[in-house]
Amino acid sequence: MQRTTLLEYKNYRDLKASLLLMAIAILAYVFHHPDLGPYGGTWLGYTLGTLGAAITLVLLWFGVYKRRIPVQKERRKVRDHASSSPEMQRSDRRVNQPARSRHQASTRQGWLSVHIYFGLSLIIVITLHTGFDFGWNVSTLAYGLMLCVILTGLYGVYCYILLPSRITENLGDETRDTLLEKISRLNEQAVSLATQLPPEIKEVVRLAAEQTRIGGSAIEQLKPDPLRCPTSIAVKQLHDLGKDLDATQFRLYRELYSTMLKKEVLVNRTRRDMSLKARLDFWLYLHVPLAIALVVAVIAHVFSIFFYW
Amino acid sequence: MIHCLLVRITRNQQGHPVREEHLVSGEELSIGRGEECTIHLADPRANLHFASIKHAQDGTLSIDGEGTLLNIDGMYEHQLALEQGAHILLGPYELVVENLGGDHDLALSVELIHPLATDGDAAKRATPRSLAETGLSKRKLAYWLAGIIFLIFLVAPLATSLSPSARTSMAHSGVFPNKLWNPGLMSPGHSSFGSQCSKCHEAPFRPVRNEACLSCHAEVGQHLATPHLDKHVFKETRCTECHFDHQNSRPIAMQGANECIVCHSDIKAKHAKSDIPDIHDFGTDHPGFRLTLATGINASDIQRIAQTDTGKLVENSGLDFPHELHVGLVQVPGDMDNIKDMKCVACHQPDAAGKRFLPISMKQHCFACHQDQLEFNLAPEGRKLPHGSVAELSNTLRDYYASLAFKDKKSIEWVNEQLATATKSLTEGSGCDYCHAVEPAKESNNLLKITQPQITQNWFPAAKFPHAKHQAFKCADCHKVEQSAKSSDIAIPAIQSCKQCHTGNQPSGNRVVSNCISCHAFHMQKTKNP
Repeated sequence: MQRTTLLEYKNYRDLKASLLLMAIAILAYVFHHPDLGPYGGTWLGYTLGTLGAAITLVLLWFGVYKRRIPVQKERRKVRDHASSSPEMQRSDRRVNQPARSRHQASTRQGWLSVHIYFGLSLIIVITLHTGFDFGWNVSTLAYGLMLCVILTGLYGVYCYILLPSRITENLGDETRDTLLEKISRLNEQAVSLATQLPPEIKEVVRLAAEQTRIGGSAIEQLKPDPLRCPTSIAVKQLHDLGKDLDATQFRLYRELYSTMLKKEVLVNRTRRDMSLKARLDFWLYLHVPLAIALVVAVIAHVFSIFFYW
Repeated sequence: MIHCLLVRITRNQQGHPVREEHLVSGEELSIGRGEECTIHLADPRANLHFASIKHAQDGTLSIDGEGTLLNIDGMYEHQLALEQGAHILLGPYELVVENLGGDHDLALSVELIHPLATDGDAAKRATPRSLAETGLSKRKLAYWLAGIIFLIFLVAPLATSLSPSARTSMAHSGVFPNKLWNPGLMSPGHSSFGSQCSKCHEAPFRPVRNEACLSCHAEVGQHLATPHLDKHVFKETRCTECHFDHQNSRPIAMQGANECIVCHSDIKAKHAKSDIPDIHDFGTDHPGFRLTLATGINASDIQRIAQTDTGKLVENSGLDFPHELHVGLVQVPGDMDNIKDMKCVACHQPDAAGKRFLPISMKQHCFACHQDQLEFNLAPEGRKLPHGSVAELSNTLRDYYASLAFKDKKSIEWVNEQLATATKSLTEGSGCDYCHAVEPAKESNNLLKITQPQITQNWFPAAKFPHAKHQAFKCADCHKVEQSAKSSDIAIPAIQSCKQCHTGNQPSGNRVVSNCISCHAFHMQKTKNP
């Protein structure tokens, strides 16, 4: 659902408007023949530059607007906690969602659509504004930052389209917390089972229980390395430690091995969930700071132009 | 049928248990998150169906994990008979068998012993499980990045622009922050200013003034010859409206025709008395050329004559110079065996700029062949008549005959008579009049009157024609001098000759696109002594 509404909002209204804007800019550029060749200082250059700056500011407003949403989320969270069961919460949200909230969600989607398509139009509008005239200066810095903001934004769109379904697919009926709880339970179970087994097995299980970490630094979250996971290593080691056990121990060993395998699967699922969510967030850690930097660079660019008028 | 007293235990703020009792009953008691479960466990981490409590064949109650292991009193079993005081862990819940038998078949307490972590608990977790928990902050990154750009790209260039001392001290360290504001490379002529932006940009937020340009470019004149008309037409036009610097490799002056055509397409609208024809494009309506030449010897005799006005188009150079006798294989006068192959460049030598030609000089260009016509040996002393000054010529002759008279004791009248005869002979076909237009001398002073030669140097003072750029062509392709028998002939090509290779503002065939600036300069050159 998200995929269709994100890019197809109101039957591609913003895509059409953005394409029209780009077409007008390109036509104006093609038919404009300034005496000294195209650059930012011709009437068309100033027009495209002003238009680009105005679009940038409007699109930045989306960032400001979006920051108001968490307040609403909090309210909703409080209400959800008041409900008794998750099923109830979901149905409650669907049925009792206030009209105002629905309207805001729609407006937010509209803004996002405008943000994406008009953000992309800046590639054409501002490139034509530059007249392909680049140098080691604040103007080219602003242009470069703008491209970086747009590219990170594009990556964000890519993430928003692809990752949510992967997250749902990975989690199934679970949530992050239920997975962690189950891992914790399997951990306790494994440690408890291992107490009745030889010390080397107990040690392997203890190390796996104590050293398995889910999460960590940004890189560990984004790109977890399953080969270095203590639980996976323990499972491999347990595979070789199952010989020379008596029948009772072997029954417990089978149970332990199965528990550890389940834990490994759950750990990997949780890590994948974290990795997908981190990827869903990560692009914003580039997009937002670069956008703020872009605003400062554009201010410096405009200031320098009028300072040396 | 199992009748069970279900005791839900919650904790108050002090952590003390709060018991809430319900009665539930059924053939068997299912436990789990599912709504159909008799003992409903609301926590999202609970399985939809954990286990069931049912009667065993012997009538005792047992709990069955139905395939999954149950943790009962620390032991893992699939199924186990319930005993009083047994602790069963189901996900985050702990179930305790408080009583068996009595009023009810079973008294079972249920407590959520591992509640869902709240936000506060999450913050305390040792391992970050989201990017926000790693300490990464969009806000901090944004502030740092924006701050660095603000300082380097705004504060530093501004400081060096406003404070010369800051600029000097930074320049000493090899740092030029205001170059970061430079929108493009400066033109070669201005690049020597370096980072001294204030040379042209005298004050912040003020356009560059014409005075700043003219402080160096003092020789640049106005566009119109009449100062008050120029002021009336151009009013407050600024130099920077046509001249753009910081354009990387582009020329500093506007190169297109658009600005010229604004006025010249309807010149009467600008100045009603103007006699200049309207023009839109060299290729379509450029008028024929007008040649600038002297019709007399006075400065006021310099006129611009249309090439179509052939009656007036006569060059009065004061010389008798038929081009046809000076091109190709030419016999040197008085020497039958001396044949020279005369090229145009033998006399017309290009100037250093490759635009025009150096003036013709008698000594340099004529003397080599016309030595005999220029030397008059006066025997027996072998004196030679000087070239260039009529008075000096007369004095030389007088001195010659005076010396003869002194030697032969002849009278002063004889001297005057000889002088008059000799002077007259110089005007009879082989003397000065071999080349010059000469009027006979008056009896009173015996001085010949030789018309001052006026060879037109520049036929188009208001246009430029770089000959060096046209070297692919022969001179005769444009200048038809091989059949020119009279020195009054003018061999300057007409506009049609240019149009064979040049077109106007719009491309046409393989001809060169040429606009106003291609041939005309906007500014008149200021002369030091007008």
